[in-house]
Amino acid sequence: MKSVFAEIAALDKLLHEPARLSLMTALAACKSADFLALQRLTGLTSGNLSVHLSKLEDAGLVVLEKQFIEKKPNTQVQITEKGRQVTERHWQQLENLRRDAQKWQPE
Amino acid sequence: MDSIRQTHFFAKNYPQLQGLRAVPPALCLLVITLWANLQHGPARDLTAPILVALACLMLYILINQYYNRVYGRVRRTISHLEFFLQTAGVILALTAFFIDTRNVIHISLLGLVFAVIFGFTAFWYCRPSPVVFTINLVLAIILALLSLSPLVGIQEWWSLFGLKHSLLGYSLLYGIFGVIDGVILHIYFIRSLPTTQEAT
Repeated sequence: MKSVFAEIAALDKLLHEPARLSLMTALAACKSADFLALQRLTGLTSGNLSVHLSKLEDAGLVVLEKQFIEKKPNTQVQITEKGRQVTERHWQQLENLRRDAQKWQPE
Repeated sequence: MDSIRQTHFFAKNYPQLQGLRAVPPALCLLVITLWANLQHGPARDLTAPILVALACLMLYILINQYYNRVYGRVRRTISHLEFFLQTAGVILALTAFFIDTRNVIHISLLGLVFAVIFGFTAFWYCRPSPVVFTINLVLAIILALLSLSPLVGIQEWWSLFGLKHSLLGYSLLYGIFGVIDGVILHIYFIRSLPTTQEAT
């Protein structure tokens, strides 16, 4: 069995950050969400949300689309196929980790 | 929000949890039922129900704008099962209405369909909240029991409220329950969303 510590080290650092994991989990559950809805769902401030979304966009995990709705700027965020796969894999890794940690005995 | 599972659930069902959206159609049904109960014979002047429907449509647009401006927009991914169940619900309701107007059976099929709709709402959208889940389930059980009440000899419960027909009774109850349920779901929605916090 791979050690629990090796499994922890193998986790995707970009996604393991709680705010980003929360964002990706929310986006994986819907087609797309706008900036305000993501703020409401995660409780992040607009500044923090912008920073996290930029990092996720740079990694190709989400796509940001800026548009105007009723003359007001609106940012739609959509998870990419890569983002969906990475998020699913991450949750699977966490689930495996949880299962292995239960069996783990300190030497 | 306590857990990431709840974040997932809220993102998945975001517009459905915005309960006030369900209030205008329920209110429309409620008022038109009361209007229909006042009619003697076939109605000739339909101005009143048309005005009620327009007012409820306006109310729906306002509520929609309120949610979009304050809580943002989420485009849902509707599962095939959910789509099938919603379509089946509409077909069943129309069939039940048709059968109930013929008075061919003693129980109310429309009441049972309304009960199923509340039951579906409870199990599909309200499971994370025991209170909202229980309220929806209780409303579903009340409707189901009333629909089946003729089997145990209880006849024409609706006449106790001055209503002329079973269809009016179930429509009125569905309207009242719909308004109550919509308000409760809205309170649950706004209370469950996290408050804005600083995070790294």
